[in-house]
Amino acid sequence: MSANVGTPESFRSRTLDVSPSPEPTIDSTTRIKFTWVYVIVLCSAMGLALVAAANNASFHGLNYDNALSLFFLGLACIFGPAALRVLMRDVDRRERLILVVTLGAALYVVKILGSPSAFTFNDEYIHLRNTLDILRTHHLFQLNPLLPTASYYPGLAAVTTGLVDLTGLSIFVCGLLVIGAARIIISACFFLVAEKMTSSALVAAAASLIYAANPMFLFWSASFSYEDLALPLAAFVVWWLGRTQDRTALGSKGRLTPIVAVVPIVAVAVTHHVSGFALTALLGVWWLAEWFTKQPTARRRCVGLMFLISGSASLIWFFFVARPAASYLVGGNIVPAVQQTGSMVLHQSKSRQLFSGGPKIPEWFMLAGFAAFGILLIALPFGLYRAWNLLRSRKIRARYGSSAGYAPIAVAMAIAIVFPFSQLPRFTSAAGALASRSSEYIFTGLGCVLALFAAQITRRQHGAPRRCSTRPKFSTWCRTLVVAGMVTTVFLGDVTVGTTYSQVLRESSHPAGDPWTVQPDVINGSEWARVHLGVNRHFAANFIDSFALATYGEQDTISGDNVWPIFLEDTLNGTVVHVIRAAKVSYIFVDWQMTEGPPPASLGYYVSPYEPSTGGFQALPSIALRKFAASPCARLVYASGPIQIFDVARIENGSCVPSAAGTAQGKRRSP
Amino acid sequence: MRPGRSQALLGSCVTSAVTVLAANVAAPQALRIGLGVAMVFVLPGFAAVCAVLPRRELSLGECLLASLGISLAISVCMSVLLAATPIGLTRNSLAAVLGGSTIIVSIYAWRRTPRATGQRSRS
Repeated sequence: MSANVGTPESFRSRTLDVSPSPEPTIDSTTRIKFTWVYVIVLCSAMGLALVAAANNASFHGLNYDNALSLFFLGLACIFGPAALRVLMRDVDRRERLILVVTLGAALYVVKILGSPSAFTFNDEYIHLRNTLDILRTHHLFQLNPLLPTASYYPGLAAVTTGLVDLTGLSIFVCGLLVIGAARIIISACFFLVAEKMTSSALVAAAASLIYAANPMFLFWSASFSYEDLALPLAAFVVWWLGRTQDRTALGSKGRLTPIVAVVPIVAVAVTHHVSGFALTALLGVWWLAEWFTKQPTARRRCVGLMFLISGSASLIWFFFVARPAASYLVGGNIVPAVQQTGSMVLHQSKSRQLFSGGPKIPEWFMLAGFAAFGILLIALPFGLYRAWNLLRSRKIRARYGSSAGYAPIAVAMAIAIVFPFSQLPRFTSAAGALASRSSEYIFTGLGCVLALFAAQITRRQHGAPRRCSTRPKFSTWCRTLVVAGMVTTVFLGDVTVGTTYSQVLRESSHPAGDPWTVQPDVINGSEWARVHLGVNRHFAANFIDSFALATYGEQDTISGDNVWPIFLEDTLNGTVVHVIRAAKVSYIFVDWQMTEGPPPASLGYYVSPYEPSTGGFQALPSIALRKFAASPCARLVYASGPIQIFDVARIENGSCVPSAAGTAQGKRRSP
Repeated sequence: MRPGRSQALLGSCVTSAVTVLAANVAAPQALRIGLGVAMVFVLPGFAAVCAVLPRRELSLGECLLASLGISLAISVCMSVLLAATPIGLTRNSLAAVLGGSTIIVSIYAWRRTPRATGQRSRS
C-alpha cells in the first residue's frame, strides 16, 4: 500500500476506507457476518431485559440507585457491542447499516419500556391533545391550551389520527408506530448521508454512533413530539436528493425524482417549525456549494428548486398559518435564552448550578455527564484538524472529480465548532432546554467531524509505534476497543446530561412526594370531568395535572402563569378572587399530593415558574388547599383520593364574594 | 427486466382497493390493522418509488427506506390536507384518498416498468 501513497486509489483504501467506485459501495467485497449480527442482537435483548428490570424495580419502589445502576448496565449492553462491531475494519457496509438501525430501534424500545402503557412526557400530552381534537372534530387548528403553537403544526397529530382511523388501534400504539418509523428513517438516513459525504461506511457508522450519543436521542427524540417526526423526514429529504441527484441531471428521464422530494419537504414544513428552517438552511448551503463548485446546471437547479420550495413552504406556513409560532419561538424561547446567556457571560447574573434540584444526586451520575462533555471537547480539535487536513488535501477533488466534496465537510466543521458555545445556555435557567434541544442538530455536524478522527484512530498508522501489541491486527483491535469504549462513555454520560436524575426510570407507583408524572387518580378525575362537566371547561390546575385535564379530560386548562396565586395563597383573598375572574376560571382541580413533598425536581415549581418560594419549602402548606372547602362560594363537585374538583363559577361571575377571614383554616406550617 | 416488480405493483393496487373497501364495511380488526399499517407506511411510497425509478436503481434496503419515508410523508400531507378541507379527516376519506392515489400511481409505475423483453419503458 505504501507504493500507492499519493494516488487517489491509495487515499480511498487507506485514508477514507472506501472502494474505488464513486458510488458508496464501501466494503462491498466483504460479506455480512450474520453471526456477529445475531450476537449483537442478543446483547441488545439482554440489555433491554436489564432496562426492563430496572424500570420495574423503580416502579415497585425498590432502591432507585441500584435500579439506576442496572439501567446503565443495560444501556451499556445495548450500545457497547454494537459500537465495537460497527467500528471494526473489514465489516460489510450493509452490516454496519443493519447494526446502526438495530441500535436506533433498541434505544427506542428503551424509551417504550419507561412508558409502557401511556404517554408520560410533558410534550407528548401536547400532541396527544392535538390528536384528540382532530379525532373529535375531524378538522385542524382547535385551541390547544397546553401549547397553542402546536395545533398549527398538525403533521404528527394528523398522521396519527389517520392511522387510528384506519387501524382502530389506540392513539398510544399508533403514536409509537409513527415515531418508531421515524426512528428507523433517521437512523438509516443519517448513516447513508454521512457515508455519501465521507465516502466511508466506517466513518458513517462512527458518525451515527456519535449522533446516537447526543443527550436527547434516548428519550426526547423518541417521544411523541412533532420534532421527532419532522427531523427524520428532513433527513430523508437530504438522503433522497443526494441519492437521486445524478438521475435528476438526466433531464426528462429524471424529472419526476425531485417531485417526490417535494412531498416530504411539505410534510416537514407542516410538522415542525425549526426542522423546516433547518432543512431550508441546509438546502441553501448545499445549493451555494453546488453553485460555487460549478456543478452541472441540472443538479444545481434541482437543489436550488428544493431550497426555494422548502423556504417558501416553511415561511408561508410560519407567517400566514401558524401565527402564534413567531411569538412562541422568538419571544418565548430565543430572546430570553439570548438575554440570560448574555447577562451570565457578562457576569450580570449568577449561573445555574448543573445537576441541581431534587434529591441528592450521586457523584458518579454527575461525573458521567462531565466525562461525556470532556471527551467530546477534547476530541473536537483533533476532529477539526482531521477535517481541515482533508479539506486542504487534494484528495477530495480526486475522489469526487471536482471540488464539490469540500462543501459537506466544511458545513459539518462549521456546525461542530458551534458545539462548545451551544453548551453555555445550560448554565442559565431559561435557556437550558434550548441548549439541550439544539444538540439534535449540532450533533449532526459534530458526529461527522469526530467520526473522521475516530476512524483515523481505529486505523493502524504506517510507521506508527504499535503500543498494544506487536501484532498489527491486535493493535487495530485495541484501538477499535478504545474508541468504542469512548463513544459508549459519551453515550452513557449524555444520558445523564439529557435527563433529570430522578426521571431516568419509571416513577414509583406510590410516589412519596409531589409526582412528576400524571397519576391514575388524576386521570380518573379528568375523565370524570369530561363525562360529567363536558369538554372545554376552564380549569385551573397544577402544572402536571393540567396535562391530564387537557387530554384525558379534554378541558381548557388555563396557563399556570396566570393562576398560580389560586393555589399558593392561604385564603380566598382579593388576589385569588381577582385571578379567578381575570382568568375566567370555572373549576379548580386540587391535588393534595402537592402537600406531600417538594415540587418535581425537573420543574422546581408546582404551578408556574413565576410562583414565589420555588424550592423554598419542603411541601405546599395544606392551608393553601383547605381554603376552597372552607368557602361557601366554592362548591365541591368531585372528591376521590387526593383529588378534589371545586366549582368556582359563582366567584368567577361575581355572584358570590368569598370572605378571606372565613376561609383561613388554621395556621400556615413553617417551611 | 425487474422480476416481481409488476406483481408487487399489482399487489399494491389490490391492497389499496381492499383498504378502501374495508374502510366502508365492518372488517375484522386484524385485517384493518394490517391494511392500515401498509397504507400509511409502505404502499404509497412503494408505488411512488416504482413510478419515478422504474429501472431498479435502488437496492432492496434503499427501496424499503424510500417506501417508508415517502409513504409517511404522503400520509402526513394527505391527512393535513383532508383535515384542512370541509371533507374532514375520517376513516373513509383517508382510505379513499390514500388508496385511490396509490392505485393511480401504481398503474402509472406499472406502465413505466420495463417489460420482460427489456424494451424501453412506454413513457
